[in-house]
Amino acid sequence: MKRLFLILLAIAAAAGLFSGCGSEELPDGFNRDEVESRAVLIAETLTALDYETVAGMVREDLKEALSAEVLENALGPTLEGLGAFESSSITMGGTKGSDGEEYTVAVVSWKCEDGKVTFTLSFDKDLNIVGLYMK
Amino acid sequence: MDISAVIFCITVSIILPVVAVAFTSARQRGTLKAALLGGATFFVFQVVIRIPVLQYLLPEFSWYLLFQATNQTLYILMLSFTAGLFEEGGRWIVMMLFLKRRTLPDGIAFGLGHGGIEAILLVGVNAISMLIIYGIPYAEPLPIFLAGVERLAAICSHIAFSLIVLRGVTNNKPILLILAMLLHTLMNFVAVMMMSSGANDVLTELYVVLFAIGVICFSLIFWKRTEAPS
Repeated sequence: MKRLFLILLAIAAAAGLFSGCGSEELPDGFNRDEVESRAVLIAETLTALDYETVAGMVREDLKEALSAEVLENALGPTLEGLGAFESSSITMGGTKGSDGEEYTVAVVSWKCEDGKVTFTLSFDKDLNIVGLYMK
Repeated sequence: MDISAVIFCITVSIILPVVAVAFTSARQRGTLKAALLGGATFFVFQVVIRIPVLQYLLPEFSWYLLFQATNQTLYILMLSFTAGLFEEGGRWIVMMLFLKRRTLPDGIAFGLGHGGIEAILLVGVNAISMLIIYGIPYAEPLPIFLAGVERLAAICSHIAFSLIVLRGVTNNKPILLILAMLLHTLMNFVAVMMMSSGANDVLTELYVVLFAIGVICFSLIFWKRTEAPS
């Protein structure tokens, strides 16, 4: 039983190491400060319910899938009741798409008076939005 | 639209597990307890513990969302591994503590209960709601049919995993628990990787079916070979 416990502990530790590895570094060509500013700007703009401006930051080939109307329908019901901004935090990392292109992902936690939302934003090298998810 | 796919799916994911448990317990007295314990294991370790942790607790942390978005393969591996860890670990704990009679029919009934409740909750309930809400569903029949096939294979796999874990309990060999966890992880990981890399749905389900056939044959042969001489 003790041996089983040790094996499980080793597997859990390995899983923990795996989950933490390599994702915090940004790929070459990305500047951490620029990504952070861009991500915060998007979070601010979205919580100000300005979907048109955010839709304008989406990469050309994704503009239809992430149009202002799509964003408003998907995010509006949650964002409208958030209240005044209180604090935010941001985590960033890099990833490679199936096409081999490198992207940066920023997770922005946005705490407001009446709730908290977390945006997961993916950017290409020109800092165009290539992915937007909100929880 | 053809309704036979929905009927097949409901038959496999609701009627079959219930009938199989009833049939097994009628033929082999006392196996109903094992089936109920198997069902309870899935409910407690997946529905009550694992799923809320993955869906509500971990997404509260930014590092987890970042991990999810930046390490797709590792994320799928983590999901597959935790399914094996919780379900097989749960089986081991429940069998050790509550399953006092540990025969082959008990192991089969335990797996039927586990896989049966999973099929009912994950697929059966949805198929019934679809039928009630839409009458004849608008969805394509092939994915519904494949969902039924997948449940059938999953029930067989759960029987196999239950037998491997139960043998570990009867022979006091925790390594068999690890084996069941690894097999469970492998089954889920390859299937989800196939789906996420855009493999054909039929091909993915074919893999799940072949895996189930392989693991059920292995577990039955292994059970017989490791039986203590009476």
